[in-house]
Amino acid sequence: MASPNRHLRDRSFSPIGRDFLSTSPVPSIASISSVASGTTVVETLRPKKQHLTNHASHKPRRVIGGDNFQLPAVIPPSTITSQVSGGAEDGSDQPICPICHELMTNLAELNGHLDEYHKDVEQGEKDNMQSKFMKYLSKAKNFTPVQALNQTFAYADISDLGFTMPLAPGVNPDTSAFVPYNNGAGFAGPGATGSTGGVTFVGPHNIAPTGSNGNSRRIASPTGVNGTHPQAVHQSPKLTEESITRAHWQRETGNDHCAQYSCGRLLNNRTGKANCRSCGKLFCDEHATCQMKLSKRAKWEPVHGVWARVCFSCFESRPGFNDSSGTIEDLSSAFTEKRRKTVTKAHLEANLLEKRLTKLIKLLIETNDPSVKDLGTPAITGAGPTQLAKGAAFAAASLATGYLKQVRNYRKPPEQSIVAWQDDKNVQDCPYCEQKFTFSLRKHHCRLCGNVVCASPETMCSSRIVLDMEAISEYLSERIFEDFIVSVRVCKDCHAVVFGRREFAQDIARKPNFVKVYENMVEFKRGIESLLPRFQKLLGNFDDPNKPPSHELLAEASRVRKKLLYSFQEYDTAAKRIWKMPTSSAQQSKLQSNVHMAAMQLLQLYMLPLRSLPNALKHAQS
Amino acid sequence: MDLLSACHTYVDKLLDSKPAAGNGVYESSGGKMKILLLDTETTPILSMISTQSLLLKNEVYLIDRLDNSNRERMRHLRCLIFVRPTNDAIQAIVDELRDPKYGEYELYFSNVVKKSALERMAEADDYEVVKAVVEVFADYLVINKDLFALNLFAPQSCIFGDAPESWNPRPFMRSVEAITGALLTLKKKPIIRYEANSPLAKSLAIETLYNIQQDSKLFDFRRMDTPPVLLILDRKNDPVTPLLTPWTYQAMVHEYLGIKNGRVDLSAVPDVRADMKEIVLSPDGDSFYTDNMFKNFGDLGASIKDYVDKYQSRTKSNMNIDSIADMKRFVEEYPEFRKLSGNVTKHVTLVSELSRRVSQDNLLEISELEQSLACNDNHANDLKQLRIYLSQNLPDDTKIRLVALYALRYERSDQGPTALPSLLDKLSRSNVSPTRLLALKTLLRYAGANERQEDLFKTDSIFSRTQSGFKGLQGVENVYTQHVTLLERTLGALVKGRLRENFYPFIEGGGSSRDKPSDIIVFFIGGVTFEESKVIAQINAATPGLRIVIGGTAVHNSNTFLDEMEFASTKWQI
Repeated sequence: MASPNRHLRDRSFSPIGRDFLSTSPVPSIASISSVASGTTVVETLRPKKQHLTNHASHKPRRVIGGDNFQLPAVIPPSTITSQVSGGAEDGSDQPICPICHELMTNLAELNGHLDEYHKDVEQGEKDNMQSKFMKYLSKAKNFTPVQALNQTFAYADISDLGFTMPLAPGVNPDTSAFVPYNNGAGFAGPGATGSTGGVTFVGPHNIAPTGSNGNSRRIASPTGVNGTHPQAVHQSPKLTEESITRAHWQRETGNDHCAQYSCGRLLNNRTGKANCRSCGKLFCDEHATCQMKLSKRAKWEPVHGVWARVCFSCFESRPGFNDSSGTIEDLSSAFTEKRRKTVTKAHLEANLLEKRLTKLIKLLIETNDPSVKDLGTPAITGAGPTQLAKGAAFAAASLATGYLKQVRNYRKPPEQSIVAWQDDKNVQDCPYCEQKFTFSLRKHHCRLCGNVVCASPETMCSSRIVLDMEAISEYLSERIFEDFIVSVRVCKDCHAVVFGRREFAQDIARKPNFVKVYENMVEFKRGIESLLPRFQKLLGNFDDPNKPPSHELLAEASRVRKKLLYSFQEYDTAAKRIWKMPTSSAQQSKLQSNVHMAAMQLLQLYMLPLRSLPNALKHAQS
Repeated sequence: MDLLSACHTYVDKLLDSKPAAGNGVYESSGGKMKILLLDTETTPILSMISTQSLLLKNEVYLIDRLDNSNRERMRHLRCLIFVRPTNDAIQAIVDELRDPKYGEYELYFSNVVKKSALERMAEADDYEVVKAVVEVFADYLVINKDLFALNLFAPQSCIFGDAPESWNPRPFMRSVEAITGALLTLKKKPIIRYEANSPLAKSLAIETLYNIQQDSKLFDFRRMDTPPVLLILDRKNDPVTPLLTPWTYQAMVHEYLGIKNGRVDLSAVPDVRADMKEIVLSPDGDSFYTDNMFKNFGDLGASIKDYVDKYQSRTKSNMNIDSIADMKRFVEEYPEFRKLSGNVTKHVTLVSELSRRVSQDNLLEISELEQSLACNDNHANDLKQLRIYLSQNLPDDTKIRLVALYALRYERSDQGPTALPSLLDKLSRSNVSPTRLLALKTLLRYAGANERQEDLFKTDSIFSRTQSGFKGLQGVENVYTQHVTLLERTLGALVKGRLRENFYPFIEGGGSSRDKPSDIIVFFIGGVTFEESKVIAQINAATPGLRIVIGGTAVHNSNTFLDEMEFASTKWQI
């Protein structure tokens, strides 16, 4: 059995050290002493556990300065009247190992340290140490018991303590007298202590406080509070399996069976018998071989507990032990958060360009047809832009070449008033396709951002967009030019900014026929899935061979079956329809055939068994 | 500590299907058609933990590669992307989001996504098509519930650098990521031990620790009584296990037919049915396989006979259904019955092929010599046998393996491998390919006695059986399975808290503990074998409270192990 305190040794593993150091801003005595019941104290202390910091361990540690404190008189080992002075506020103690002079963060650690490293010290030295300890501890009890308390309870499981918390020192100095209290290992049954004051000492002296406000603390964490006997620190045995409560143990009756479900053997000397330290039940040797760390109250305490023998089910039922789900980290909200910026920016940009476009169109219409005065904002709505084929534009334009020139002339000023056009001279290549501008590849301007861009029909670096004229056509007198008049050249990027989202939304909203059929199919599938369990339940009623099912039941069963078969049929038809839908795209046809395949899978699974049911029903009826 | 069920939670998350409740048959999801985009590595990863029919059932009707640029625009689909968070993948996603081909997207990554990568994707998502971004940590192939591996095979991803002591950088990072992924899946923040004589193990340990510390927020798991242990081992300390003829089902299939990403290629098997040219062999959902994968060949024969009998009686009873009780049973059992019929054929095909190979290649005799070489000190006799086999008409690799075992075994013995030069000479004269011979020499250089840190051959063989100290592991005395792997001995010591720190130090800064560990993750650099996986499975089954998971850069059989050496010999210039 490994030394129970061993795990406390390694500072990097034990949170104690860090824990305590990080709590260095000690709550003032006053605040604690005003607390009447211990639990509140602990509750205020507990959260500290969460603020473990690694940096803490680098903090300089203060060594006790003996000068600050009055040295107490030598305290007789058996009876101590604790006289705690009130002037303890300024203290902060750092125990030192009296043997090797190693600095400790707290007394609990010191205790562990002594157990670990100095347990072999000769008796003679022990005596020597005892006096040292007495000196030290009586010092300690004269100051900062509160901090010590913190330290004791910061890691203690409250439910585990189960007794009244110590009062702050100095409150009732006279009453905390220690009397010898002799008990064995099983002294601390749950609830045995409680309101009468903790009785939780193991040690050569077995000192326990009595009195209305008894002090209590965990074993092996002697803190020097309120007159702990110094020797208890050193001589209290290691926290061992023995110190775990045994009150809940199943008593041996001589006719016990192993509590392991699969075993259940009668326990005798051959099988061996052992109590699970955690649940207390009796097991044979073979089924109580696991080990886990328990607190004194026989509860799982992974960090500060003691190794103890337990049964497998206790071992297994530790929270988190059988957690078979893998870690999943959902970054969606972080992603949305980051995306919000992008989207806002995109929205702003889209708005800006949209406004420009609206304004431009309005201007254009006004210039083109001065008779239209009271034109509202032309809506860029619904159907969105369609791209005008170059040929069509030409055709329209050539119809009225003379007019075209005119149009160009009076279009230019309003267009340029919307956005300043980029100077042609500075641009040699199209910024998108990077082709050189030539006589055939002309320079054009995007009417929304003003940049120079080509109009190659292959690359579609820019295109003319024509707005849905339905909404505004009534304002126009010459219908033949309506397309031309409000078609606006826009570069690729601006197009995407203004119309991309809209187009995308429309695309999503447009349901191809086969999606509709699919949705239909899914509906039938849902129907099947809700009917099947019902049907199985009905079949379950036919279980008893001696009691033939009633007529109503049979009728109900065949009705549900009929309904099911109908759903299956519809489902099948829908699946076949999807499968057979003509499509030119390879992926689409693969998609359709896979939908069909999945449907067949489901049908095979659910429907085939149903086929033979009529026979069975008949059989039952006869 | 069950990788398979943990990864099933990942699949459930990915498919948004509720975990099977009750009989698990009736579950419904979304009602939206889905396409799944994968990359070269997540494809096998997913195929090990999911099935085509499960995907279909969850409305995943198309599966494609993310880097396939010919995907058509199908805006009515929901797109699930499951990829490793490599730079290429992130770029592909960014491009995809700028011009979305599908209606909406859910992004799943098999490991930690860098903050900057997340930002890049968020910036690209103008259309707000991304509905979810999730990290699941299935960054390795789950082969058994306690075995994970990568496919780091030569020549594409040989793990070695220019010397046996150095890593090839990409496989190195890949290994670190796989380990990190496995730890996160298992929710373990381990202390790390490694084999002191292996620079590969040390650098892997350091990098893993660094990763754990980098993502300390993710690794914030509940503390258990003892910290879990990650034990990093190097194949070079046990070159013998991959060379021995295995006798358990899974290991045999891998040795003679090869299991690749859960599939077995049977096209070379004579007289195989057309639908059995390639079969899926995975413990996921195949109960016969799960029950028998670690059984030795003799017991397997009995199992398969029972299985066939069971199938035949079921077929019979399904023929005549004339009572309600029959009906009900049939309704309930039908789906399983369908599975059964395919499964029976599959396993019968496999086992009969194995048995054909056993007799064809004289495996029993050969294995006896191998075991004798590995476990007993019997130089004169072994050598005599060995010479006989070398002059017989055996496959080259068998001869190479025997000579390798001889050389490794007697390298340090009193007599020394005196006959080695003459054996090598004999090999080269019997038309064994010179590169394969070179592989043999490379093996001796890579994993010879000077390179190993512990006595691999416990000469006191009588005691070596009890060495591991795991109860119930040594089954029936069997001349073909005498060999006790080094892994078993190592774990035995580790579990008792007696693993020597000078051989297996803790990585600095990663904590240490002298407590006996109860959760252990082992990782084999240079590949794990199914033999070792069997050991782990048996220990897990026999020791309540002890849970071990093993992983490796690859799962080797003797052939791939020698291939690895052959390739390494070109790299190391030996």
